[in-house]
Amino acid sequence: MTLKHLTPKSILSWGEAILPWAIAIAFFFGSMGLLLGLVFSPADYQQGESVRIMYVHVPASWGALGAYTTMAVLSGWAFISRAPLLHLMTKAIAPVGMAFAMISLGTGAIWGKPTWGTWWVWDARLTSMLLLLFLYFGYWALVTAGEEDEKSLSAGGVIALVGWINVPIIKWSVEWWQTLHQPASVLRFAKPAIHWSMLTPLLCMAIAFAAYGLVISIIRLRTEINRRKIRSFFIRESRPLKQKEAA
Amino acid sequence: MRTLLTGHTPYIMAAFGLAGFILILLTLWVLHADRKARHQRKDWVSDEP
Repeated sequence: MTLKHLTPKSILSWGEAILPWAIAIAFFFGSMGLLLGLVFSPADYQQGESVRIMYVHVPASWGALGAYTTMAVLSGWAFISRAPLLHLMTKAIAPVGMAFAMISLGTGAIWGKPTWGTWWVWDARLTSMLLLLFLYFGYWALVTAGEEDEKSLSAGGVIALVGWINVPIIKWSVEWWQTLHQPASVLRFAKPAIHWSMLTPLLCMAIAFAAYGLVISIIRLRTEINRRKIRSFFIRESRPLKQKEAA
Repeated sequence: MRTLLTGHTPYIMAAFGLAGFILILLTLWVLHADRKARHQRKDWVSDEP
């Protein structure tokens, strides 16, 4: 699909076609992931049962990083192509990433208590993840401030683009600094250091989170397009009135 | 019940509960905003592109 085909109508018709499939995938893999993760997967030899928190913490963290990366790519593309629809797509993804970042930090704190003996430490991984949440807040504050026009969308796009520098910092923070957080077990150059009995529910939950994120993003995009249609309608309607008042 | 509340189970329940709560809240907000925008568009703006 080229930029010429990237119209609100075409992108929404694509979205509407994908929507039921994405909902089905989210439900199927979510149920499978919960069943395998909470019932069938074994307890960890060191962490015991609390390792099951991984099945919600890790997919949420991947989702938060993935959503921000997608936002940065779309914003960069929007600045190059000057297509406002790409900025709207960025805005549609932001709430999903924000929610995933909150889940990641919240469940991480809950997991930290039985594993490390503390809810929070100011180590590199946790602090950089908190910074990501603040970047999401900053982006959202900018795009929803004032008139919610092209200017605020572009300002948000700059945050999405510049703030992306934090994503590789989060990913490699456990390698670059001495942290309490464990190093990567799945997304690494070597073979995953996790048994298939734990990897399977983890991947199921990751697919479910990704599909859920897609569903929410499509619905948010539809909302944003409808809101802009309403706004442009009111601006168009009020113009003759203002001209009359001026005369 | 005693078995359920021993060990790490409350932490697991809290983590999954928090995630569920945030996801349900997000879903409800998104659906509400979408419904509102669709109704407003239907009432005031034609479906012309």
